[in-house]
Amino acid sequence: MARPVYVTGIGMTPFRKKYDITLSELAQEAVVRALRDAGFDRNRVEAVYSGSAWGGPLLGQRILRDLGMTGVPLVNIENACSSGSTALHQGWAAVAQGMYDAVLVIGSEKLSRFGSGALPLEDDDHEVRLGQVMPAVYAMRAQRYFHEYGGTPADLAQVAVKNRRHAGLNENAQFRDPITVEEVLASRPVADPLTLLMCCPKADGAAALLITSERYRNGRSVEVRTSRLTSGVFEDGIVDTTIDEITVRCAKETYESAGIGPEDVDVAEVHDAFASAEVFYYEALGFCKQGEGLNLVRSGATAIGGRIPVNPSGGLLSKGHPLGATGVAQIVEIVEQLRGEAGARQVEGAKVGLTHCTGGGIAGMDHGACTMHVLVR
Amino acid sequence: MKKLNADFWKQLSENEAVLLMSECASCGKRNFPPLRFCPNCHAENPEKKEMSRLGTLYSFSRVHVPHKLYSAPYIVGYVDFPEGLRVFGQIRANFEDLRIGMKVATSVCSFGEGEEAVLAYCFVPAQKE
Repeated sequence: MARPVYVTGIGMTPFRKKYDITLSELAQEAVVRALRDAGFDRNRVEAVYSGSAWGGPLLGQRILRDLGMTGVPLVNIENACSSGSTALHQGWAAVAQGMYDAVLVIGSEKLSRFGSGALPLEDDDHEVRLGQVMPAVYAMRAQRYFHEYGGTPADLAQVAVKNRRHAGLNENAQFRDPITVEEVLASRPVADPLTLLMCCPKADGAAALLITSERYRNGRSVEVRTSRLTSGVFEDGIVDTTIDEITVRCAKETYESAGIGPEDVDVAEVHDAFASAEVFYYEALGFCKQGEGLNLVRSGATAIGGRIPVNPSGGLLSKGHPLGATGVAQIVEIVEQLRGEAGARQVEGAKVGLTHCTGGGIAGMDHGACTMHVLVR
Repeated sequence: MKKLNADFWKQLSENEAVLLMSECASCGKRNFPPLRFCPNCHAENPEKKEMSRLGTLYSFSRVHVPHKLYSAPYIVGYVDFPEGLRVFGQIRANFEDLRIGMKVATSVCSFGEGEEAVLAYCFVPAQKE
């Protein structure tokens, strides 16, 4: 039987287009903030899990060397956009199974190194060699969704507008000025029907968590009720791509192991890499029925003040998406919400929060990885 | 000219190509692209067979942020084949003419210029073949 696990300290850097310090320096800022937030002695950290997609060899050691936190078990983890949330899953599992009482989880990334355009994908993928890019994967799902259920690009634009409104309340977000549906539609095309403002911007950023057992729990700790990690299923046959299979499967496992249903979730941070993706995840996570995702965003239910606020932080769309940092920063947001420390973007009375982070895409899989966490106060 | 994904297709004429799938002799599992092991039973080197040349357009998009081999804009799509397989590729057509559910044919396209040029399978609207 697993023991209860808590997020006892949180820290993150603002997500920005470019930081002029190194990736390890950036991550150090998040680590120190997380330890200070918990008032925790660094010498009591028993193990470290560091997630990054493009951080390079021994990133965790590079981060911790100059913080005087060396000589502990340390694991470096790559799982594309799920790298940070996978690090959390590993840290959670170690504490839940009784190996450690206090571990540090770090997610960090500097995407400014890639300049503009879509992120480079691996050319050993046969679809990539023929011109596949991530925005096109999501664009084709959106196009098919319109065909099956109706809807227009203006509906997708509402997701971007909502998340930008939320970001205006979050000083850690990269883009905070309000935008309109018209501006989203008029922004330059990326992969039809997706325009630039329907696609998450690259970012530099870092986030860190102190994960503890009951032993180091304090009055501001938030329980991690469950942590789930799964990988993509290979499918080259005729399937319905408007259903995000990996999220549906991970959500089922998550709700079952947490003993809750979608109706119990008060606030959620989901992987809105593209505006259309957030709509698919409403359906896959059970916040509405299949085919009703656009109605949900039109109704305002997923805005702060609505029935099920989604991405109160501004999401990937406005906060930016430093891959390895994203899943850890989602937890930072939910912990602030459940502590009641989210300020102007506070979801009133939030007691159950959910995070959802998918990872990458390769031919034959809808995503490479999917992680979900349920946090409760 | 260099062929992309050369093991997955055969050129039949200047504008015609056919895709190759693997079909496992032991369990019948079909895959595109053809695999070295059957993912269903791990039999080695499943037989390669020709697929139908005509398929149905499942979805498509016009890409404005190109992969480094290509110049934008270009059109990509998923095509569903009667063999029960879905294949990704570029589509040569007027974007405005494309409709989900239309028939497309497997064709040959060249990309790039001079020594950089490559050949690959692509899809074209079936009536314009």
